[in-house]
Amino acid sequence: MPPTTPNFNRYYIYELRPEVPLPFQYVLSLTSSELDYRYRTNNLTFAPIIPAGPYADRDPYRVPLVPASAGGGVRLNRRMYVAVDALQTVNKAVFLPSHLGRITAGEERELVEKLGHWLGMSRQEVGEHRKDASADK
Amino acid sequence: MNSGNFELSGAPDPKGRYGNPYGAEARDKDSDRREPLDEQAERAANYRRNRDESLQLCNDFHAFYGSHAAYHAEL
Repeated sequence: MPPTTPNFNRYYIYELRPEVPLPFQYVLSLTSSELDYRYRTNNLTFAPIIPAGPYADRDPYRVPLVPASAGGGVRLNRRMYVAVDALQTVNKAVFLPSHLGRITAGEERELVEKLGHWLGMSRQEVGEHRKDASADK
Repeated sequence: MNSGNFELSGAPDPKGRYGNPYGAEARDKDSDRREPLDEQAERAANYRRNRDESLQLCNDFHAFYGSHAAYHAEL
C-alpha cells in the first residue's frame, strides 16, 4: 500500500485519478503544497511522465527515471521519462493523494539543468542575457 | 535529414549541449569529431519525434482542460 499524504511535494511522483482522461498516468510535481493551509495553494505544476523509449535517452528535454526495482527512487513499473518541455498546471484534485516516491539526487540535477535550459533560466544563459543587456547600454 | 530545417525553425540548443548535433558548437567541430551522418539523421528524427510527442501531450492536456470545470464541479 503506497504512503498517503495530504500534501504534494516537489520532485515526487504522483498518479492521476483513474477517471481523468489524459494520455499519461504519472506526473512529476514541481510545486510543493506543504504550505497549502497557509498559502492556499490549490494548483500543481507538473511535468508528465511518459514511457517514451530508447530514442528519448539523449534528448535535451527528457529525463529518464529509473524504477526502484532497478535501483532508482520511484515506484514505477518500468523505465519512464519526464517530459520537461510539456509542463502544465492543474488543480491538485485530479491527483491521487499518495506519492510513488521521490526522484534521486542525480535525476533531480538533470531535471533542474534541462528545465533551466528549456526555460532559458540556466545559470549560463542568464549570464549571457546579462552580458547582452549590459552591451546594449 | 537536412539540418537546415532546424535552423529555419529555430535551433533549440545553440550551444550544442546535451548532445544536440545541431548547435553552433557542434557545427564548428572538426569533421573527424563529428558523428556519422546516419547517426545525426537518427538523432534528428528522434529529436523531432520527441518534440511532436510533447506538443501532443500539451494538446491533449488542453483538450482535457476545456472540460475541466465540469470535472471540478463534480468533486
